[in-house]
Order: sequence, then structure tokens, then C-alpha cells
Amino acid sequence: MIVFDQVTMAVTSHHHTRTVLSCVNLSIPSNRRIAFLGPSREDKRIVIDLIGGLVLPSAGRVARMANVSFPVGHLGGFKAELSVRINVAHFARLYDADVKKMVNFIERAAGLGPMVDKPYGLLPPQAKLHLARIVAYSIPFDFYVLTDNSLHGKADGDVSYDMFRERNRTAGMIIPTHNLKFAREYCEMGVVLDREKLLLYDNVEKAFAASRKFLLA
Amino acid sequence: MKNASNVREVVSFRIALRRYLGIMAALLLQEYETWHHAPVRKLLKMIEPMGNIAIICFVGIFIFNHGAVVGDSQVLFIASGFFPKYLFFYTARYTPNKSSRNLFPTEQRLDYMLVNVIVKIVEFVILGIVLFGSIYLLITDQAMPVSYDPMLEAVIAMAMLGFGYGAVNLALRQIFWFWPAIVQVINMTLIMICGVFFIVDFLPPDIRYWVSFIPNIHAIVLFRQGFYPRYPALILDTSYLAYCAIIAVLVGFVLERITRRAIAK
Repeated sequence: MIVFDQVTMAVTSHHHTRTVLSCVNLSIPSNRRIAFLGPSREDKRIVIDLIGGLVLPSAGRVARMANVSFPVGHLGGFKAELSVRINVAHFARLYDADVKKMVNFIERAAGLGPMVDKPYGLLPPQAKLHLARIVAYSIPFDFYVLTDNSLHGKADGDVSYDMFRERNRTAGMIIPTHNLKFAREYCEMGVVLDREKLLLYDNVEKAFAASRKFLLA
Repeated sequence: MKNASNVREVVSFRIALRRYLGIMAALLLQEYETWHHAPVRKLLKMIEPMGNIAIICFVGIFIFNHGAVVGDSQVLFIASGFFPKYLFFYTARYTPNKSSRNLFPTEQRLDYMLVNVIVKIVEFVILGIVLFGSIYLLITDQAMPVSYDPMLEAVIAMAMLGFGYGAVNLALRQIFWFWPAIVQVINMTLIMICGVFFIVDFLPPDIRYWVSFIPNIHAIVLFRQGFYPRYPALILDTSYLAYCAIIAVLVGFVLERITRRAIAK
């Protein structure tokens, strides 16, 4: 269960403050797969970061009563000057996983080859993103928080996509998407961000119907 | 559930504590690995404390050229005062250069602040061995400490005080944008009045009374007792120092919590 308790979130960019959420009270079940719909990418990202615990709300509290992942595709905690191997080991220690097993697995799955011992900062952006996805899915969380970056463009033959499907069967997820076909396949419920409120719908069709007005616009 | 996360998951206290200790261990190991990975870069960063202490010690000979106040070497006298004093500034100087987006949700800023204190204590222990070792080899035999306990206590007390001072500065910087400039003035004043260059017991009684409220002075006297067993220590009040250190740490924790939202922006 992820509880939004009187959450207000205001963000300032370019000396202009706008409200993304105002006084939201909501409980999101953490064992369901949820499609997340909203009018703008940035606003959705902010809500995702709130759920993942990357940012604090301006007022109120987000209580995570489950083992919630950080936003998949986010690897802010990695240090650019340390090698990928050391970074992954540090990550495994932070999340209490078996260090050796995890490093070996990532080495095989990410297909980095000799780049594993090079500084993380030297990786090309695509490889970083790929690594980020695999690292996040390799930890068994109760609830995964996905971002727009979390899914690979084409589904076939991609390791991270296979891992996503695997986790999708067993764990809860929140997935920002506007693709109805995808949502029908991988989601059961929907959350819609609409006029500074979050609304929970118990099936995907209703959520898409509710969000039709800004999907079309 | 095995893995840790920044959650209010309902787990037993034992598991929560183990997770927290695991995270602290991971952060310390990461520090060690940055050392291991780029020792030259880290050593170059330590030029700053090393150079400052060395310059103050050797310039102090000429500015305060009235012979050794206690012991037989003016250099050792100033070094033994300035070393713990600098540890205080060095631990207090913590800038949260990491935005919370550059961390995993499990790593909190407070953890980084605590790791910062531990790392700086370790750095200063190494630095102290180098500094007093070279004074021992080059200048005087007195640089070999007669007892290590008061020195270690003073170092820990200074680090605790520095943590609190750093947290206060961090909080005040959110309110007054010019606060870092004032901190520099306060730091300079503290170096001058904290008994780095003189013995506090020999001050006039009125001044000595007011100056004795500064906890740093007690820590410096305590540190010097490691070198000079008969150092005039009428002013020393270790229980006052302990109270101040604990209160500083508590104030640091509270201020970190209060300013967390503001700093995260």
C-alpha cells in the first residue's frame, strides 16, 4: 500500500511556481499493476519521483508500506569516476543483495564486456540506460516504479524487457503509458493525474475513458 | 522481505537496524573504494588541511616569537592547538553537493553527513600521525604523546562539535544568503581566541571566565594534555565539553530534519 497523505507538490522552474498535486489523499495498492495517465510528461515524472522517494513533497507525506523500488531507469546513485563493477557492488550492498551474485549477473546480462571495469561515466548513454533497467529489475521489490525511460522501444530479444515481463507477473507496478494495447496486456488498474488530483480506477478501460479528453488534445 | 528500501514497510526493529547498518557500511565502503581507486586525487585534496596546519605552525614561530610557552618547541605548541581546531572546521565544512536526484532513495543526506564525519576523523588520525611524526623526527622528542586517551577524546569531541556547527551553518545558509561570509569571520575569530597561540589559564580572570564558555577551548586543552602532562588545565571541564558535544550532535540532527525539504530543492 502506498498512501498519499495530504500531499501537495509545487515545483519551481524558471522562476515560475506551479502546483502539480494539491491535497491528494489516495491509497494505491502495491500488489497491482497500474497504468498511470496524465496530461504532461513532466508532471507524471514528478509524481513518479514522489512515489519512488527521490523527492519530498512540499507538504504532506507519502508513506510506502511495501518494498518500493526507485524509479526504474534512474541511476543517480552511481558515481561517474568509479568502475561499473564497484558501482554495482555498492548498489547490491545498499539493497542487501548478494554482492558477488549480483555483479556476475549484471556482467552477463548487460553485455558490457570489458567496459565493466571502466569508469561508469565513460559508458555511452544508451548503455547507461540499459544498465539502469537491468540493475533495477534484478532486485526483487514488491512494487516497481517505472518511468518513460523504463521500457525498451522494441520488445523482442531485449534482456530488460524479458525481466520486466517476469517481474510484471509477480510484483506490483506503476507504469506511465498512453498505449491502450500495452496497458491492457500489462496493467489491471489505472491512476489518472487530472487537475492536481490523482484518481484511481479499478480497470484500465475506465481510466483511459476518463483521460480521453487530454489524450486527444 | 530481504532487501532494504526507503520505505515505511512494517518490519521488526532488528531488521530495520540491520538494514540501516548495512547502508552505512555500504557508504563507508564506497568512500574506501574512492580512496583505493584514486589515492593521488584524495591525497591532493588533503593538501589543504596539511598545508594550512604547516603554514600556521611555521609562521607562528616568527609572529609569536616569545620562546616556547610550554615545552621546548613553539612549533609543537601551535601544532597541538591548531590540529584539533582545524578538525573542527574541517568536519563542519559539509556541503550537500548532491541533489537528492543524484542518490538512491535508500541513501539519505544524514547518512552522508555521518559518513563525512567518520571519514574526516580517519583522515585526521592519519594526518596527525604524519604531522606529529615529522615534528618528532625533525624538531623535538616531545612530539611523542605521553598518553593517547585525552587526544582521542578531544578529536572525537571536536568532530561532534564540528558536526553540529556544520548543521547550524547549513540551516542558516537557507535563511541568510550571506551566511558563508559571516562563517569565515567567526572561524577566524575562533582561531584567535581559542588558545591555539597562548595558554588560556594565563589570561586575566574576567576574560578567562567568558572565554571558558567556548567548548573548543576545553577540547584543545584536553588534546594538549596528551603531549604535556603538566599542561595548566585549571579551565578544563570535561563534563561541560561532553554536554556541549552531545547537544551539538542533537541540534545537528534536528536542524537536518527541519531543513531537509528546503535543501532538497
